[in-house]
Amino acid sequence: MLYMMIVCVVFLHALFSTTSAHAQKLEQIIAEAKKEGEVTLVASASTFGGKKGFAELENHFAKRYGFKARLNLTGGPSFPQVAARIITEQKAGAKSSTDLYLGSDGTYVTMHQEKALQMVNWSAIFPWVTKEMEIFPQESVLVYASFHGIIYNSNSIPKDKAPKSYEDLIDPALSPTWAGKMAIPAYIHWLVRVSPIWGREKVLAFARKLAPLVGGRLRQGEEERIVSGEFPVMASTGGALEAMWKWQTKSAPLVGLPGSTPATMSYYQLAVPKNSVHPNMAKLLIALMVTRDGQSVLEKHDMRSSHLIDGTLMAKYVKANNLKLQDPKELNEVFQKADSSLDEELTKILLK
Amino acid sequence: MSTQVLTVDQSRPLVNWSKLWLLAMAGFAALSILTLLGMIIWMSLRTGVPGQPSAYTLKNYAALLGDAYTYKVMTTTLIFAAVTIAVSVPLGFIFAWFIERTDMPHKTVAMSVLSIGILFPTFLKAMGWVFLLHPRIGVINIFLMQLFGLTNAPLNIATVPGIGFVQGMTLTPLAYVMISAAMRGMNPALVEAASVHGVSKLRTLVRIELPLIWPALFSAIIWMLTVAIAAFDVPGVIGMANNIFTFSTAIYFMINPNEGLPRYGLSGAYGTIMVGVSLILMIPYFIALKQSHKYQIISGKSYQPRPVELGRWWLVAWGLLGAYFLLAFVLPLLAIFWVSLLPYVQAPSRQALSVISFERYTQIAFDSALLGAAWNTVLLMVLVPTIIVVFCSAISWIVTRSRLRWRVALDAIAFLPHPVPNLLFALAIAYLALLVSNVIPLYGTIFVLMAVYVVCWISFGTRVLNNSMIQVHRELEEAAQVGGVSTWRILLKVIVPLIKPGLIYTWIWTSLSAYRELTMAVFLASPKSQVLSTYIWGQWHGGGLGDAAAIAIVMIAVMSPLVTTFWIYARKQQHVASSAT
Repeated sequence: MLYMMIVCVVFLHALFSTTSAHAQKLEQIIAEAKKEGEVTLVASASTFGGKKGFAELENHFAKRYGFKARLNLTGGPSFPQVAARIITEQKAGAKSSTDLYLGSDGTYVTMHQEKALQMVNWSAIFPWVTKEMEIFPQESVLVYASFHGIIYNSNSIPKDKAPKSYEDLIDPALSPTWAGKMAIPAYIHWLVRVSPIWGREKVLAFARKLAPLVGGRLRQGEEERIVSGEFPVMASTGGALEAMWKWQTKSAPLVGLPGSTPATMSYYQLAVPKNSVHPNMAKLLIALMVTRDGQSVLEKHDMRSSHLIDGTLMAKYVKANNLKLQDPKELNEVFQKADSSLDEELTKILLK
Repeated sequence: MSTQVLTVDQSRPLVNWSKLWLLAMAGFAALSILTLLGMIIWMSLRTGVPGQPSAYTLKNYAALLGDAYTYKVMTTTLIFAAVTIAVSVPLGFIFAWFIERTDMPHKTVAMSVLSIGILFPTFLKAMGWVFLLHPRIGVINIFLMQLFGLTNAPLNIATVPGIGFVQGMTLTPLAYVMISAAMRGMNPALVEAASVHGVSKLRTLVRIELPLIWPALFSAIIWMLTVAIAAFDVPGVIGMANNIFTFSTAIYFMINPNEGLPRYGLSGAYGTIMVGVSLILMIPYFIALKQSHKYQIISGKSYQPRPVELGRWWLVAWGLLGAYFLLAFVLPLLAIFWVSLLPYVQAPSRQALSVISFERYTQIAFDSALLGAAWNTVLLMVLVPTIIVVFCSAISWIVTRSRLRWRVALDAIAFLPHPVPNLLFALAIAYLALLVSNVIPLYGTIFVLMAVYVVCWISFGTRVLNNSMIQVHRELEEAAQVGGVSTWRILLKVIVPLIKPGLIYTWIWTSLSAYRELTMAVFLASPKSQVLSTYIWGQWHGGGLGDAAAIAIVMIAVMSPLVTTFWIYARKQQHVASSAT
């Protein structure tokens, strides 16, 4: 009997202490975040709608957490470049330039392998965050998903001569239209993504045929250079459809389409670097981004959203088209097991 | 004029504290320069990132020299530099000849037209050139294609010669300044003799004047070469998106890689080789400077050489200058302004006109990050020149007034940042700041930018102040010394008032440099140390072309009156300084 009572007491204590610890933890985070007062994200200057989007996020932040704080965006280098900077700063024992990190699966694998991210039990602390959103459990949270694909300027390339897949980009019948004028991403992740579908040799053969057609390299977020006609086509970007939706609302001549069948995905995630200066503010901002309010800001300015949050553009699109998306965890495995010689070879062919 | 009485200090201390202070300041500055240069070499012998253990190795050199990409980048850099020189030096020479050697009317206006070019950041002009001469979106190309019914753009800025051309146009005012100084000091007797003997003006120019100023021209060529090798602005804005990589942009990607971790060791090896090349280039530069004195016979203030009469050719002179002003300044700014009004980049058309708005400008007013960047810029514009003036005064005093054995070495060290590409100092200080971030938490702060600006521009300050101090006769100082006046008081009460124009000129020039600088800032900028140039660069590089354009226009509009006032004052001070010779 005594034994049973002790077990019950221990069980109840554990149950309540766990529950209160979680509730307390969010309160603690809020209390600590109040002291921090601000948070800085270093990413492309147009991230989450740029200045306008961040101003709106500040309002949503105040409403949700009950205090006003400064949310800063500093226009900086690309996702992989920021990741490299965070890891370098960490190894040197310095504080991180950015309080939170935004990047896609390819760079998150590196961050995960380098143990550069804080462990946060997201779904336990924030009731609206689900386990499914934690792409790297207790590390990163999915903020939006995007289809990888081609974008082109419909004024520069007529519909009948436009590419319909990555393979069309090197089709001798079509490619003279963009030969020497085509932009490619400044990184090779987009081809590593298609390697499980095509196989190593096809990817390399494709890259070799693509290289002579390349006229420039752009990073994600530079779609305006396609819209302006500076480059008639960009071989691949994470968020081709969203870019098209976004620019077509401004009557810009931009068309986006998935580059491969099945379509490859990019899962953009947020996480807190271990050496973050304002880690609690960063946690609150990350959690805010996966609320309906945060997603509405993303949708409004970037047409981007997460398929895992009900009612978002992406969730509706996936449902309406009955799409089965790539499993993000499988994609992580692709990058984790990625053949480094393929990376080196692709870099040599396309970026040197 | 107020008369100042120097009190005589009867009790002379055993230790001359003021001299010790000056020595300490000069020593600290010299040590900073040598440390950063040493850091580049040290980096080149290590692998990994700062803070990671690494054995000393020559692997980085082997990797660099064994990579075909290195040679590709070096070839591109050399072609880029050659075109830069081919554009800037002849244009600088022609403008200098018109202004210094002919009776061209309104010379002051002409000088101002060229000076304005120096005042505005190069990267802003480069942005404008993209919208003017890009083969697909360049307004001039579109106009020419429509006018002549062409299917392809006749001009292309997105090529190595194209970016060299833009860099050359932006460096023309500097070439003009360097060459015009030599023309002013040129011996006019031979030209006069040629004129008396009926030699044509063109023949006189080619056979007499050109050989006479050849040393100055050669110095300008070497100088432009070192500037072009290190330049980030134009290769960054136009080259990077168009697959054109020069030395500076290649190093940028080594430190900010799209794959893997920063390769500090490799960039250190690159830097060490470039330091070597730059120092070798300085040998002919100094020889040319030394030889230039052979050709200079200033005939006294009363002598006024007869200017070449241009006749109707003055129209050609002004036509050339006007075309330059239009191409290098007016059109790029107009192009930036046009883009700032549009929702996305479009060529001028009726449809484009219907969508123009000032929306971006209203947003700028509420951008706190932009205000932060502006504040940092102003801070640097005040503090950097002030520190430079203090340190350079100490160095120049030791070099020109003391009898210290090591003063020549000190002068040589102070000159070192001149030939070495500045971005290497930025690289070195970034590495150092990361390495010591646990002990001295300066990494990512504005102080790192401040430190590297000071180190890099010490060479400029010491050149100006050496010249100013050398003109002050020792008698004044010796008289004060005999009277027992301390070194501090001599410096403050005797020397500083006499070299005031040089000090002010140095202050203003370095302040303007802090306002314009992008190359070093882009390597060191962090959220807390954003300046206007890096803020605009961030917008441009992140795809916000219209936002970058709008901020650039506001930056020019706000800073122009200040910068112009600065510049007019600086020129006056320079005139005062030079008239003292």
